[in-house]
Amino acid sequence: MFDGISVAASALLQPSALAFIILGSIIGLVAGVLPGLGNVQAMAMALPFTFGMDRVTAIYFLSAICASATYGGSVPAILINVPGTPASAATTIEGYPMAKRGEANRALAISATASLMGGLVGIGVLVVTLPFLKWAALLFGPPETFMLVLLGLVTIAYAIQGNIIRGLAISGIGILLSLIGYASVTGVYRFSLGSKNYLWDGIEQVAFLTGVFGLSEAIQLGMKGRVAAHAEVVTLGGFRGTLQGIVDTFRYPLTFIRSSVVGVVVGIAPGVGGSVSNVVAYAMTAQISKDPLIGKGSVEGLVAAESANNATYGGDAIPTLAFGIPGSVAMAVLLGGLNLHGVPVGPWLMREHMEIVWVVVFGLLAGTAVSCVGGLVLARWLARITLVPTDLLVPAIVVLILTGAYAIRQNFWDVVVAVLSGIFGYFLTRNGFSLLPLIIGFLLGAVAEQAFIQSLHISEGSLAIFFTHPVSLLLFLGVVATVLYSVFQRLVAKGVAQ
Amino acid sequence: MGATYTAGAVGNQAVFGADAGYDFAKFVILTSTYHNPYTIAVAPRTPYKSVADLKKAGKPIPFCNEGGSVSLSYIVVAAKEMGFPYRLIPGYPGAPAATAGMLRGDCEAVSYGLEFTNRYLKEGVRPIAVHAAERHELWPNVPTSKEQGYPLELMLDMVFYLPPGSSPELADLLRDALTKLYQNKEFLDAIRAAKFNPTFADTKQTQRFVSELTKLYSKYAAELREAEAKIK
Repeated sequence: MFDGISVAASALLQPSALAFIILGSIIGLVAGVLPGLGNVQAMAMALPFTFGMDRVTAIYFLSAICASATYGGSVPAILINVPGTPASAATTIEGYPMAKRGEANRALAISATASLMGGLVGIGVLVVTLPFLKWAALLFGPPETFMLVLLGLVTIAYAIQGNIIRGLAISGIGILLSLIGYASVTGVYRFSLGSKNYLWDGIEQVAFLTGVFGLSEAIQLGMKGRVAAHAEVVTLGGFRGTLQGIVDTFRYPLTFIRSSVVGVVVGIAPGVGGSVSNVVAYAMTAQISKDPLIGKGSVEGLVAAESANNATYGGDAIPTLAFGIPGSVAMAVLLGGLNLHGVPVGPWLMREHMEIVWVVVFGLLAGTAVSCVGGLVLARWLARITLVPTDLLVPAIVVLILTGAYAIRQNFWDVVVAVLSGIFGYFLTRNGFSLLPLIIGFLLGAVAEQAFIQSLHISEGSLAIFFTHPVSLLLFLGVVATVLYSVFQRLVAKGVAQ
Repeated sequence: MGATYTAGAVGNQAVFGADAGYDFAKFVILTSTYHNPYTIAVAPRTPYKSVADLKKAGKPIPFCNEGGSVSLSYIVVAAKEMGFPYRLIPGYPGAPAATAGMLRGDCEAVSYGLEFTNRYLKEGVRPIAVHAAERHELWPNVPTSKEQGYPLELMLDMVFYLPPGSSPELADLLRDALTKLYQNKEFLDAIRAAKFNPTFADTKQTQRFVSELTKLYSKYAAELREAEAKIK
């Protein structure tokens, strides 16, 4: 193991490797900022350019791109309510209201610091579990994944304080939308309105998310006809705002640790990644937090969302490195890069190429660090976007969203989805509905369905499978505890009111 | 644009007919690679040591697989020819996930290519049959299906092909390029370093593979449709 560390570390200190890590981080950051692009697209585009590189430099380059896009995605989420990647969906809920209050600089600094710390926790867990990696990779099967998702759904239903029915109704719509198209376990097509093309693949995630959050906000901004944050209410500008954001992150150590752990656990579960950890960790915090600003620009909520999505990389890497099971689509591209450079993936990787495992670990770490430190440095200038007048900002947001929606698959119908989602999001917000349950239902619905059906296939139809697997049982107890805690909280509140 | 995953494409057409939305016979075949025999492998703590043990189990053997893949097709074909009952556990996104599922206890067996399965032997995966005419050099101690009384040859051939109507000039250009690529020492060494065996077959041989695959899928179309229906 130590030989592997020294090989990877000495390669990291080579100027060429350092240069490509910085370049990779910039590419990832830019891809994250642009809706419709993310680390998957950036890595896929960069892959052919690694042909001439030595394999260690190439893997550092790809790992850095992989790790840096998530923070990039949070920048437009905070500044213009458009999540650059699905992993920043919950970030908009707290980040954008902060920006509207004139605290964009502070929010960006919180995002960068929480992302960096979350990334460190995720990679720390990966490093600590390296000797037990195979065991950890086998921890999450279909029943465990189903219970994890159920925990997220139940948590958010109660997190919408005082309006459970509305929360459940909206998350139900999200679940129904997620079930459109091809069911990956059964191969059945449903709710596709007879379409033999577009709806077979379901509703495109990025088009839907950018529409619901970004376009609906652009409509609101356009109607109000003012800047997102008035210059006179910019409370924390310059370096002071950045510093405040850094300090803020450390004010919520429990939130940060809990969310990072959620990020890692979600990462280990196959098929679910940063988009899920971001909302699940945020939902848990929204339920537990006593902060009256939750949902309206809470620092604690932002710390939760941002630490979780970056911690997910460490979890994603566990099945990827131990078994060759890509923990996410980005990890699948990384595996492709390893194969391209003559590195055997699967269990052989850890047996015969421990130095490559450490190159991936250091590459993810370096990519996170470079992008987040870059984010901190640039925060004060990026925050000025919120001061751009509406008549310039709204058309720019609309063009960015529609171009991003089209860029994903070069399909015009994705643009239509973004527009319809924007109108739907505007309607919901205007009528006092929270967008978070809708997004959680949309992101988790199909995952839950797949894990549930697969579990029943394994158990030949017996529900006992969810209670006989230790991790699944533990998560189920978490679901029960969440429900009981919420009921107890409400009874106490009722008693106090009377 | 071209593609490689022939077994899935041919099988899809055989099972769904016109609903598949394409006619594979109209695609322009180039060359092929990764000619790998399929296998049956079982979990470490299962009692099965041969195909005969699968038949004697007295219950359907649960197989982890993607659900609608080459793996599913070859499980169905092998089960029909060998006469063992099976149960499909679908939904695993690829061979590594299905193999991990088997090691976790989700199922008792998997059916994947030999080179892939070979990666997981140290984790406890136990191969019990190779669907090939002769024993493979990587597994000299694992009997073929033929030796166990069932002359099955089920291969995973990755075929390079172009869409219908592609120009003959383009096809010839790519055939030449692929032929030269598979003679390039640096390329072949890189493939070997990634623990793959760089096999190559020219257009004529590849057309023969595709033709055999089409016949195989046509023969078992009814069984494959039944298996798909059971998953739904």
